[in-house]
Amino acid sequence: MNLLDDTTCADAMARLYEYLDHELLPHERTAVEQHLAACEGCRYHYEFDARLLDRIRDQCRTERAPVSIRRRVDRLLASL
Amino acid sequence: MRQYTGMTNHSTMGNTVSLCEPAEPEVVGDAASRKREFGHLLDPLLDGLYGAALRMTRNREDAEDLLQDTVLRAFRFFDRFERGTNFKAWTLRMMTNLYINQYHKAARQGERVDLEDVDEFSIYAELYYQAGCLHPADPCEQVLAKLGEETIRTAIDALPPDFRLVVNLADVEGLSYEEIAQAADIPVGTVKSRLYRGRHQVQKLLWTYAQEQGIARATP
Repeated sequence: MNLLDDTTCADAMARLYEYLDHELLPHERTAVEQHLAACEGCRYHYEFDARLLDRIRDQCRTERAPVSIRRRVDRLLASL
Repeated sequence: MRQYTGMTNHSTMGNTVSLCEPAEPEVVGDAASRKREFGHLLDPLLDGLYGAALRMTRNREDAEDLLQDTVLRAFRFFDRFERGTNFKAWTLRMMTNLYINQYHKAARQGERVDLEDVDEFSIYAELYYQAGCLHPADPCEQVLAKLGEETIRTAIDALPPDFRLVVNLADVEGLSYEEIAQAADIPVGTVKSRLYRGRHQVQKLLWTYAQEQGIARATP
């Protein structure tokens, strides 16, 4: 029996985040991928959410530690 | 207003711990190489760890204190770090523990929000509804490209503390569900449900901001 054929759009959407987060088991991942290959609507939805998560990560990881905190850490390490 | 009251005691900054005293040359060598290894691992992560502290405390002074406390604790427990594994995740776990114990509990007093009312909001579904947009390269991409740092940050910061922590650790720091569960001391199932609801809430807020800023059309 091929369990992979039974993935519905609702199943695929329920697993969207776990798929994008690489948290599915291999057989679950394969099932989602087979569904996405056959379903354009779900595939585009997945792509959009993947790009949104990329955008969030890119936009929110811009901080630079100020010189003051770098000095503070250097002093701390020197004191240990 | 500063709220983080970590373990940093500035008066200890100048103290010299016995590890560095030259009583036993061999020990000095071990201590020096341990410190050097720690420094090599820490240095490239400092910007990211500062950003993580800032996202947790939302206050620069508190973030500096939290980062310093994290470095101190990470060095103390460095022998327990399994070489070859993810040093950033290991350090972030310490930072999260410190943050939860020192600050987060106070921050969520009287603010236990479950976000149960949040529907499964999806920006893609809204755009699809509005424009019949299928391919993300069309109006979807235009909306994404205009969502700036401040807008995204405002949406995540508006989440209730429990959800904000998990969303930041997953979506900004890139930790796995298991790493977040360990860091926040909650079951993996709770990580999943907070992430699921938190992300939908972030999308809902981003959609509202996008409409306010004219990035997206208002939904009829």
